[in-house]
Amino acid sequence: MGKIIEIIALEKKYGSKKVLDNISLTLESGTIVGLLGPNGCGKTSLIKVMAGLIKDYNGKVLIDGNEPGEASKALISYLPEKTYLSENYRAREAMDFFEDFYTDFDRKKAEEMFQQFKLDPNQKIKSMSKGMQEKVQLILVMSRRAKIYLLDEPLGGLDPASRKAMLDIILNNYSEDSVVLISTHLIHDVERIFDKVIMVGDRRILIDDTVDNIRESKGKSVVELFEEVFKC
Amino acid sequence: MLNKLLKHEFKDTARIIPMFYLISLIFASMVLSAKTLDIDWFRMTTSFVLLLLGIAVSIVTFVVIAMRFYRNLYSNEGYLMFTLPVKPHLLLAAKGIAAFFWMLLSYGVTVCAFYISLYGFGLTGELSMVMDQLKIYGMEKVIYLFVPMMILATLYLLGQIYFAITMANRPAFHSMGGAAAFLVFIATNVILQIAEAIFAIFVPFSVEIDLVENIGVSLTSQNMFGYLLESMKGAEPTTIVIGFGGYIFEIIMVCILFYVTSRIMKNKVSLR
Repeated sequence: MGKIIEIIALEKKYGSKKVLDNISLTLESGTIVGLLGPNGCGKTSLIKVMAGLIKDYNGKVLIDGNEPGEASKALISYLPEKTYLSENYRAREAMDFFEDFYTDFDRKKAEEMFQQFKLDPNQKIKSMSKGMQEKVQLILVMSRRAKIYLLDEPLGGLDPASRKAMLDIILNNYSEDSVVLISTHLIHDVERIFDKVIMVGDRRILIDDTVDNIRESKGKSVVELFEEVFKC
Repeated sequence: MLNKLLKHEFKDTARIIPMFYLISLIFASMVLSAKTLDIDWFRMTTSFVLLLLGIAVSIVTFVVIAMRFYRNLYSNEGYLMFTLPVKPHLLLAAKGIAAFFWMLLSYGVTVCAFYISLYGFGLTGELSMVMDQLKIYGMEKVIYLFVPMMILATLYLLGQIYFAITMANRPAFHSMGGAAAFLVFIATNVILQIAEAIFAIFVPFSVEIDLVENIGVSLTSQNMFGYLLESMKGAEPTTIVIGFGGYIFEIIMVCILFYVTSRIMKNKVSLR
């Protein structure tokens, strides 16, 4: 397992408001990592920095040894919390788009998942429900053989049945030698799949440990620890 | 990657813009039919609508291009575009090339719509007279100057629009919402117009049109300032001097605006 993401003393401000303060972490290949924290704690900003969507930060961010840029973007399969596909696209056109720009996109795999989840590739994105749009996006993102998957709130706003379907898509399709970073505040649904958790609150990292260590050293589940750390 | 970006850019923009061309074409054929059938009220009405459509096509194309730039790069779609493994300046280049192509095509549609509506109004004879007058003074080739001027003006406006939208998406402007791009555009435009006027007046490189002897056009190393001063004193002009400095300024600014925009996209992007 090699270090694939390395962040040292990351700081990000929006105007005078600091949202990330002295964040340092490393992520290794072959792991599924939970990025946990309440809403507005900086999870999305942290993921956007890694994805190359925020460039005005202080500190050092290395993705497979390179700063976020063209090379790192080819390695990262990123799912934002928003619908980022053009509303005018049909799902089939979105597949064309991914096929054109990502050499690691597996179209056959995507088409199989469309069939599996009974999604019509000819349906326009704007005529789909929010849950369907999120499934389409996740299918596209997970159909890449990427080294890094950054999934920002992939379960937010979904009913329990859809959440299970989304988790199945993630677990059945990520590459074994990749790192999957899942940001969420709905940890009850996903605790079982994490190898490691990073809890972010008050602009900094509060916990960065493997799930096994947490259970052994603290004698608690991730959910219990989360409730203790973020107790109101 | 640029060819792939261009392919998708043309595909997406082709969903809207050609619709306006189609509407213009329908009205143009209505004007021609009305002329053939000699139905006066129908001919006048359709000619008037076609004239308005001709104006609208170019304006609407610019609006669509500006909205497309914002939506595709700085709204939710930007999360996809800015995570593509392509250099940000290629995103800008693809947008600029496609926009420039559509603008030239729209100008063509505007010119055709104007000509056919004038034909509908029965005014093409007057147009020929204007051309004949220009020929008499040996100035018929001056009309070709409009082509590079329009190309330059289009690139200059595109540069300002892209710069304003990109600047407005810096974190400092996030709180202002959609109004930020408009305000940045107005501010940029006013500043550039002032600077352009100064360049046009004081740079000693101009076109001189002789009004007294045989009317002719020549390049001169004098600036416009002296000519404007004489005009203000009420002297009868023997020549018109048009400063080229403004156009030189525009060419330089087109390069600067596109360069600065691509630098912001590369180093300072911060999507909401």
